[in-house]
Formats: sequence, structure tokens, C-alpha cells
Amino acid sequence: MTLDDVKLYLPIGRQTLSAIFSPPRDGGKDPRFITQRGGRYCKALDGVSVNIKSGDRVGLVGPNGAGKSSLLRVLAGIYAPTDGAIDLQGRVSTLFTPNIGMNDNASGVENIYISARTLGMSRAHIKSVTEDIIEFADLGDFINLPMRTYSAGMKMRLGFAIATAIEPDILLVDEVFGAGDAAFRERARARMSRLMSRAGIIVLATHSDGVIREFCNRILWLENGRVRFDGETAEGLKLFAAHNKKAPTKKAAE
Amino acid sequence: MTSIDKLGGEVRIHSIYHGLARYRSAVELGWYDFVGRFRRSKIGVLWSPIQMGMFVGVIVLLLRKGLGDGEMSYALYVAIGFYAWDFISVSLTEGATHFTAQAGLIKNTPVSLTHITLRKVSFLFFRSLLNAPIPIIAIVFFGGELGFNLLWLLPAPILYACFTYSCLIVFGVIGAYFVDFSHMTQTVARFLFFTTPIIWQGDVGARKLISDYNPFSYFIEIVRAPLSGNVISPTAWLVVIAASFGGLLLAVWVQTAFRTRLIYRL
Repeated sequence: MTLDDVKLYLPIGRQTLSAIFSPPRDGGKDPRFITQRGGRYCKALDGVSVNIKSGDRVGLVGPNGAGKSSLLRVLAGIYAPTDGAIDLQGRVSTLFTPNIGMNDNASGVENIYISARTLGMSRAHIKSVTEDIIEFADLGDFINLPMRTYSAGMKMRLGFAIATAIEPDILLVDEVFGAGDAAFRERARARMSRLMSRAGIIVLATHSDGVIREFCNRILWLENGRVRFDGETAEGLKLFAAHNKKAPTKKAAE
Repeated sequence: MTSIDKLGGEVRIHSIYHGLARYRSAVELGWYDFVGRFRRSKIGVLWSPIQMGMFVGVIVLLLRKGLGDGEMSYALYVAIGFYAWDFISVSLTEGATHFTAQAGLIKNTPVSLTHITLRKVSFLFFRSLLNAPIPIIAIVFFGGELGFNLLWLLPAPILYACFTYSCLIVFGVIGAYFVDFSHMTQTVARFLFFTTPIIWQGDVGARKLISDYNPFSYFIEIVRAPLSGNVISPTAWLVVIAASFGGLLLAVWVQTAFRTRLIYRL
């Protein structure tokens, strides 16, 4: 998977309208924004070049708004890059949000089928993984009850179990850890670990050092849509932590 | 899962191809969407034909005496006309919110717009299929045609599917850009209901003029004529085929042009 000078400019309104109704607070000097062809854009990705090989487990780090989710969505084919080239071979799977396409009034078993079908799984594949999903979600008799009777944690467990019942070549993950009770978190970690060991390439956006240490062998640190560091995990985490210590937040500075 | 070999320009065509290739899941999910709407109700999907039957019954009782029966019974005329119009009207009104209602899916999965749209088309067909008892009852009781003439009915589902697909794509994109569009389509649909020969007959004078220049008259005609023993006029074939396939070409262009930009508006 190769990205060559990939740019993603997200439109945020017409120049003339935004100038009248919401003029830039800093007089238009914020480097994350650009004005071109009569429109104002946010530079979500600004020239990202990276080569990810089979076997790479890439941890995407960076502050909020750095471009992590945008990069994942470009790789998934959800956003088309404004400029640059992407060469990507293989089956791509995304773990961006649980409960895709689920119906609150349908039972857990029906939702397994609806959600898995929406995610693009074949009937045969769903049939082969349904028992595994039910077992992993561990909802007991709730699995046959409408989903509106589930707690938020139970819904998340079912969504997570469905989304991870796949065998992709390239797995893109956006912050799926940390939900559910402690026991489920441990099992989720084990399941992710198993899934990741099967996938050729993993790109995982997270704010957790622990997750990166456990799952990743490479770090991609993004800032303002650009690659700030690309390399070995331990070194990347060290530099990132040092940077975070040095750069206090605005609030702290005040 | 969805396989994407290359991104950028090709993904747009890829998207249409992938959506068509997954037509079976679109049909299944359309069915789940349909039954999902009535899941908590006691008589479920039967509400749909009951609503239609009530409407047709009331219209026939209220307006029958004021209008001449002509060659076919007025009840039969209204039942078939309203059945066909219901499909068109829902395509128009639901089209405007078609993509905004699926924002979560579009923003988080590499789903094809074609797949989402085929799912909606099949939803509308299931809805229509369950409403079918209304025109069938009218045909049986009010002297409709059930012979070989019915073969002329066969192209209608294909033409309606093309038309609905175009409406959903084109109106869905416009609706994502302009929030007011969904309110506008509801108003226009109501206006079109009264300017299309559904509860009145476009045989003479101003009515004929309105009927002749309204393309939806011909969409209704290709369903109504075979079921009432009449012949579909060449004008009707021409208008409906041109609108359906022309609409389809427009939809493919809109889908190709806006696939990458649509997401920023959701």
C-alpha cells in the first residue's frame, strides 16, 4: 500500500458566504485552511507519502484534528483524495463505528444478519460466523430479544462481534477499544489480537500508548495533516510523549 | 468486505459496479427495511394496504357521483391510478432524504451509492407488492381485465424501477445540498397528485391539456390501461421509456460527478 503526496481538502463553505457570515477569527492566517477557486477548505491531509508493507501494524497517532480519521477514510475509499496517488491491493475492512445498519426493533440474531449483510459479507460467510458472533457477544437470552431492550454496552458488544467477524487483507481501525466492562475489554483485546494476526496490514488510530505497544510495530505521527514521524514504535512514542509534554494546551498555558 | 483495488477516479465507476454486483443483498435488506417499519405493530405490514384501501374507498364514495363513469368503473380507475401514483409519489418524497438518512453508513463504510439505492428501490417494490390486493380487489369486483392483455403490464416494473432509481439518486444528491428540497418535494408531490389523472379523468378541455402535458399521466397509463382492457398509447410508451432511461443516464452522471463530493454534505 503506497500513498504518494496524498492531499485531502475538505470543503467548509463558499468564500463569499463564509467571509460574510463567519469571517476567520485570525484573519485567515490559520495554516490548516486554504482558499481556492472561490471556496474555503480545511487541509485534512496535506501531502502524505507513506509506503506500508505486508506485515506492518501501523499505529496512527496525533492530536485531535491531525488527520487520523481522514487518512483512514481515504484508505477505505470513503473519501477520494483531492490530489496525489494511492496504490492499494487487497480486501479492505473498516472498524470505524459499531452498530452499522442495525435496527432497534429487530432481535440480536436478525441484526447479526442485517448488519453483516450491510457490511458486505456473503450469506455463506454470515452463516459460518453467526454462532461465533453470538458466543463472543455473550448476551445470553437477550440475543433473541429486540435490540431496544439492550443496554448501550450490550449493543456495542454485538456491533463489535459482528464487525470483527471478518478476514481482511487490510484492516483499518478507528478507536474501538475502551468500551464495555473490564471482562469484555479483555476478550475484545484477545479477539482483536487474533484478527490482527490474520490481516496483512493494519492501520489503527488511537490515543492509547498501551494499544500501540501491544498491537503495532510502526508509528505514523500526524500533525496538521502532515507526517511528523514515521518509524519504529518505541522511538515514535518517546518523541510523541516528549512533544506533548513540551507543548502545553492553550488552557494550561492560560 | 468491499474490495477496492484503486482509489481516486476509478472508485466512482467501481462504486456502481460493486453496487450492481451486490443486488441480492440489496433486495434482502430492502425487505428487512420494509418489515422493520412495522415491527412493533400488531398487524404489521398489513397497515400499508389498509391505508391505501381506506383512501381509495373514501375518494370513490365522495367523488363518484360528480364524475362520469365512462368506459370503466370509477372505483377501478381510482384504485389502479392511486396504486401506481403511490409508487411514484414515495420515490419523489423519499428521494430528497435518501442519502441524508443514510449518512452514518456512507461516512463509515465504503458502501456503494448504487447498493443503498437498489435497497431503497426494492423496499418500494415490496411496499407496492403488499398494496397489490387493492387494485386486485378493484379488478375482480369492478370488471377489470385479467386476460392476455396483462402481458402489456410486464415492462412497467422495469420502467418504474429505472425511474425510481433516477429519482433517488438525483433528488438524494440535491436534498443533501439543499435542506429545503425535501419540503419542496412534498409540496410538489401534493400538487402533482391533483394535476395527474388519478381521481379525475383527463378526457376533455383543460383536464385533457393538463393530462397531456404531465409525464406522470403516462406512467399511470402504462399500468392502468392493461388492467382495464385498454391499449397503451404510443405516446405513453415513448414518454415513459424516454423519462426512465433518460433519467437513468442522468442518475449515472450525477452519481459519477457527486460520489466523492456528496459525503461532505452529509
